[in-house]
Amino acid sequence: MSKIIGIDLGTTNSCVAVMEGGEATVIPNAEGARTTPSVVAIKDGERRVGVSAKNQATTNPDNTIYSAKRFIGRQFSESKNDIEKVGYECIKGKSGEVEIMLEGKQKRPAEISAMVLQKLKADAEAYIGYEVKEAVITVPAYFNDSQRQATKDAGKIAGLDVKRIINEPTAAALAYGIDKKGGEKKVAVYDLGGGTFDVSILELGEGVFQVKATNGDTQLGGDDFDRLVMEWIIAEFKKEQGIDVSKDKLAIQRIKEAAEKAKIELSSLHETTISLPYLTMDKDGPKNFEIKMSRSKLEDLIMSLIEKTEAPCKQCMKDAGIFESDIDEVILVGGSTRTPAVQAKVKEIFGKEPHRGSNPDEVVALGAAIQGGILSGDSDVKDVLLVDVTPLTLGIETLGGVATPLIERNSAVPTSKSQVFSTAADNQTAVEIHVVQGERPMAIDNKSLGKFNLDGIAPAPRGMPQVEVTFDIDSNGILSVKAADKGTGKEQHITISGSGNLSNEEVEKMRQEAEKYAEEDKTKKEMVEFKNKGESLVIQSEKAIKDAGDKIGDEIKKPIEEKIEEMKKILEKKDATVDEIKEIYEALSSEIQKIGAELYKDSGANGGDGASSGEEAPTEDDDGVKVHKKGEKKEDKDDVFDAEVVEEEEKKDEK
Amino acid sequence: MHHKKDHKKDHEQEEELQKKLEEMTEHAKRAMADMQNLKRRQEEERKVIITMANIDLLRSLLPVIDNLDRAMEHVPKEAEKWAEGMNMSVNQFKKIFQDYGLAEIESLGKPFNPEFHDALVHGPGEKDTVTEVLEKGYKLGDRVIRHAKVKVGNGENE
Repeated sequence: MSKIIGIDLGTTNSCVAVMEGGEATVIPNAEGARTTPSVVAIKDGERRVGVSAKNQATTNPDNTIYSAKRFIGRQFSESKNDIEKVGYECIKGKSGEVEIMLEGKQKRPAEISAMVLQKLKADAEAYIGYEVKEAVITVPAYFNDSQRQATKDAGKIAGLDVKRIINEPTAAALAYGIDKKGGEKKVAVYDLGGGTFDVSILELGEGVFQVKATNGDTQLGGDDFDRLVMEWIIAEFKKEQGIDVSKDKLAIQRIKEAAEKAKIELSSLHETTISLPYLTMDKDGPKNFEIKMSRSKLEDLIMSLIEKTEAPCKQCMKDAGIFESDIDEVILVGGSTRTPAVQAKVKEIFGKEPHRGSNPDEVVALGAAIQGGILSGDSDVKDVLLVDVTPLTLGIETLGGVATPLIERNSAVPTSKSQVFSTAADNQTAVEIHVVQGERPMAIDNKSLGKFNLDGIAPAPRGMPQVEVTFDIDSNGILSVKAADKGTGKEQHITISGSGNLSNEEVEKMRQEAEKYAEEDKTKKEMVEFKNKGESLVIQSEKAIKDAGDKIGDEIKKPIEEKIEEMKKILEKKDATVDEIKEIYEALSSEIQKIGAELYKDSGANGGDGASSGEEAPTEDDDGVKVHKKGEKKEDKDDVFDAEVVEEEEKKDEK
Repeated sequence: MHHKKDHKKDHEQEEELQKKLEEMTEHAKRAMADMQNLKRRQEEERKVIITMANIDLLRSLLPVIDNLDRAMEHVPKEAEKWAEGMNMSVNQFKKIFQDYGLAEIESLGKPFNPEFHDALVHGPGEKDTVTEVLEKGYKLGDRVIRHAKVKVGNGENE
C-alpha cells in the first residue's frame, strides 16, 4: 500500500504533504523545517539541496541554482529578463530552450527541480516510513503545456511517477474543501508569496475546477514589504545618529531580521518595538537603536505595494467575464496574506471576506496531498470509517438538576463509557435516569433525550447502593443507556436513535447558547452545588445529634439545632444568595465540630487532635461521597432522584 | 425451493457484498497503517520532545544573548569592576542554556560548513575557512536552531 504525496514546487520554497488518517499533513524536512528552500548547489562534486545550499550561495555563486522554476520548460528567447537577474550562467539549448550551467555541465531546469524533488521525496520517506513512488505536483495556473511537461519530467527524473499536475489555485481550493460544498461556484484565489503575486478566478462545476482567468505580477511580493521596512529603519537610524549602516553587512542582516519580526508582530499587535542594541559603533563608542513602529506606519510604507495588486485582480475578473458580485469564495495563499492590510484590500477588491484558517504557506501542498488522496482512494477513509463524532455532550441529570457529562462532545464514535452513581436519600429504592444532550451545565437547559426508572434497589443508607450507568453509541449514532444496580443485578435500559439527528443549525445554536450563557450558568451551577452541600450538612448534623443522644448537653445541641433551622429556611428561600448559604454553612460546620470534641472529652481520649472532625463532623467529602440533592423536588423522599458519584469507573472502548 | 432467477440474484448479491467487504477491509488496513505510523512517530518524537520542547523559547532568547555578548565587548574602562560582576551574570545565564542542551556552534577558524554556517560575506582570507563570526550559531542536540552568520575566506591575501 503506497501513498501519493503532494508537492508544492515553489520558486523560492517548496513544501510536501501527505494524507494521514483522512487529513492532509505537512511533512517536516530533515532539518525540522516545514518548507525547504528550492536551492541546489554543487561544490567539489558534492551536491547540496535546501537550506545548506542557500547558506553557501555567496561563496559559490556560479554553482548555486535558485529560482529554476522561472526557467522550467521555457525558451531562451522569452526568458531574457529572468536570466539577467540570476547569478549563474544560462545558455541556449539545442532546440532554443533555457539550459543552466552547473559545474561546467549543461543541465535542463527540470534536472535542477528534480534535485529539489529528490530531497522532498527522501524527507517524505523518512517521515512515512516506506518508499514513496507517486506524487501530485502543483504548478502556477498560467503554466503552458511545455512548462507542465517539464515539471512532470522533473518528477520522473527524481524517481516519482507524477500522477497528476494540478494548478496551485485549484490545490488551495481543495485544501479549503470548496469542492465539497456542492453547487456551481466562482472562486477567487489571491496568492501573494515572497517574490511573486498571482490571482486566479476558478469555476467549480460538478466537482471539477476550471481556471477561467489568471493575472499577476512576477516581481512583487512580501520580500518587498521587508525591504521597505528595512529602508525605513536605516533612514530613522541615520536621522537619529547620523550614521549610514546600509553598507555594514552585519548591521543589515540584523535590521533585516528585525524588519521581518516587526512585520509579523504587527499582524496581530497594533504597535511593536524594534530593538537593536549595539547596532554599530563610531569613535564615541557603541550606538544603540530603539524605535516604536505602529501598524499604521507599516501600512503607510507598504500601501503602495498592496495597491499594485488591485489592477491585476480587476483585469482577471474582466478576463473571466464576471463581476465581483459573482464571486462566491475568496482564498488567500502565500505568507504575505497574513498582513491585515492585505486582507482588507482583498476584501475591498472582491467584496467578500476571504477564507482564513489554513496556513497560507502550506495550503497548496495540503491541497496537492488531498488530490493525491483522492487518486489513491485514501481520502474517503475518513468519510467511511472515522468521520462521525458526537456533536454535543451526552450525560445524565444528577442531584440539583446538574447535567453530568458521560460522553464529551467531539468524541469519535463508536464509543462507550460507564460511571457509577448512588442514591441521595436513605432507603431510596428507585432512581430516575434522565438522559440529556448539550453543553449547558444545568440539565433543564439541555435537550432531553429520554428518561427511565430503575427500581427495586435494596433499602440502604444513602450513598451505599452502586448504580452503574453505561452510555454506548454505536457506529450508526444510536445511543443506548443502561443502568444496573450492582447489588441486586437489576437493570434497565433505553435506546435513543434520535441523538445524532440534530441538524447542523441546531447543533450550532446549542453551542452558541452554551457560550452565551456560560457565565450565568456557572453561577447557577455554583448555587445548586452549594445548596446540595447545605442540605447534606443538615442531614449529617441531624444524624450527629441523634447518634450522640444524651452524651451531649443542651448547651451544645441548642445552637446546632438553631443553625440547622436557619439553614433549612435559607435553602427554601428562592432568592437566597450563595454568600448567605456559605455564611450559615460555615457557622453550622464549626458548631457541629463541638459534638466530636465533647464526645472525645467524655470518652477520656486526651486531646483527640484531628480526630474530632473525623467521623462525626460533616465534611465535604464524607466517606468520599460527594452529595448532590435534587433541588425543586417535593418532600417525598422515595421519589427523590439521587445520583451522586461514589467512584469513577471509566471504561472506554472503541469498537 | 429457489428458482433459477433467484440463484442469479443471490449470486449478484454475494458479489456485491464481497466487493463491499474488500473495500472495507482496505479502509480498515489504511486506518490501521496510519495509526501505526502515528504511534511509531510519536515514540520517536517522545525521545527528543524534552529537548525540543524548549526550542521556540530558546530560539527567541538568542538575540538577548547576542546583545549581552555585544554589551560585554564594549565595556568602558572606568566600569571594569562592574563589568566583572556583569560578566559573571552573563555566564550564569549561558550556563542555564547549556544545561538545557543549547550548544554554541564552533565557527572561527573552522572549515566553512553550510550545514552549520550561513556565509554572509565571501572575501580575503584563508580559503573556505570561517574568518569572522558575525553572529553566533546554536545547536540544540543535533538540531541547528540558528546557523552562525559568518565571513568565509576566498584564498586571497587580506
